Amino acid sequence: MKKKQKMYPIYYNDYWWYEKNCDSVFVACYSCIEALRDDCAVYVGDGSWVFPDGTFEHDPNR
Amino acid sequence: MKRYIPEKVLTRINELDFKNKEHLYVICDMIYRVHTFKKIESKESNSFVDIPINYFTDIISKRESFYSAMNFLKSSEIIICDNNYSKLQGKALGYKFNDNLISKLIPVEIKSKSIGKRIINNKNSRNSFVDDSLKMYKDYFLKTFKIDYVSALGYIDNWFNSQEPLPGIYLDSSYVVPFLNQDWIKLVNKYNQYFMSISSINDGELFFRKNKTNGRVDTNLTNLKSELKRFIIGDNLYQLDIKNSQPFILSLYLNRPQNLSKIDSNELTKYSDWTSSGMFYYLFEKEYYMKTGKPISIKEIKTMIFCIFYSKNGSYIKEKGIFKSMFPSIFNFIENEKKNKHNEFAIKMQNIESKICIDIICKELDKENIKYYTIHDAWVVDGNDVEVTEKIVYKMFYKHLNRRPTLKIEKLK
Repeated sequence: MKKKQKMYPIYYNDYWWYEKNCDSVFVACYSCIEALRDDCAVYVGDGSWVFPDGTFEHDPNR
Repeated sequence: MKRYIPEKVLTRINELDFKNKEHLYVICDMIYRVHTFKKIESKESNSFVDIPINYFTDIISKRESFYSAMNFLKSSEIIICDNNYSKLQGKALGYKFNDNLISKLIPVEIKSKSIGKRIINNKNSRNSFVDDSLKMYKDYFLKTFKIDYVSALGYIDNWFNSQEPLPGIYLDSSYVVPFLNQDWIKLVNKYNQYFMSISSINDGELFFRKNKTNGRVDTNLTNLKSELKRFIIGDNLYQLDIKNSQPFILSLYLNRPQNLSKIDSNELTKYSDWTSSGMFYYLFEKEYYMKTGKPISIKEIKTMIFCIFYSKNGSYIKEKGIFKSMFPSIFNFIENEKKNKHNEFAIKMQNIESKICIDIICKELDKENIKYYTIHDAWVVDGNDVEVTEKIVYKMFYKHLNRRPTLKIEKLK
């Protein structure tokens, strides 16, 4: 994949998510496509991930 | 060299006559891979994905061979093309699998040396954008990072089989073909995501990139679901986490000389003590209960704190009100930092984190010849190196930032 990938839109939960539609926490923490996990979450910190709709996933071991 | 294609696609290909079936495998694998790479997560994920022709011809070098294989897949109704191409609008042709062929991925062997070589070259080109300071870590990661594939596969198979049974058609007494509904596609895609993440590691298809915006290092490990980390190979691996890392990193920023005049000193002392001790979430929970009379879980507190720190001003008003009542001048400071572009504050925090955790501490670990993996605000090391790593982390934080965090140290498995 030599070509630079566009960061948006992201297909998540049946919708194409553009930057303007995403939760602002997600937008703040999403800075490159390699940082996006396969299920569309990005790492915030402390073992926590945020999805485009603003829902969180927390690592129970952290 | 392995590629991965849906099981039903392989069955269909095996029924058909085509001279170079490896070209068909490469195309099908590429369509699934780009689908995943473009993060098309899905409840209904079988949508068209645009793929520039060079993605295919980087692997199948002769264009006529590529067209011959692609046309065969289209005429056999394995692949559907949207026939929508526009050079002017930068729109490549879109491809997807036939809905009826969506199924679990399985490996297919590529025996052609030339195709294998081009796949490896393509993979290596993705790992070349790392500066020399991380060369030792990058080399170690790419050489050693492995997963107990059999156990990890057993885990995801168990997870798949434990899902609610879906309505299906009984072909005989033991085999059920589920209806092709949204739930089925969602389940298969979730399985395939897990499957590809562990298969990529198992096949040595590793990526290692330093993010230019926030300085973080993204790898197969940082993007691995937490429940799969227990399958990383290493008999005696330990994870060292910075406790309450995000609130702690904010305390580092607040304590910079240029910011001290903007924050009440008693408040800053309280906040800094809470975060350095690693007790921030626990103490926040206690004070929250005292103020509201309502219990709150650590997960809810983390969500609340991240929304306070990183959301746009004017959103999450209720959550911000509670934080403001505990730390009024710090709250005002954060709001002021976000008043123009709110994401710049998150990037600033991530850069502080990556500067100390990656650029400084990893360099020291290299000097001591300690081998490690990183997960942004955490390190994974052998049990014999835990003590030295812990000392280095504390020493470097003190040396460069005058404060140290508290670490949580746990065996990985």
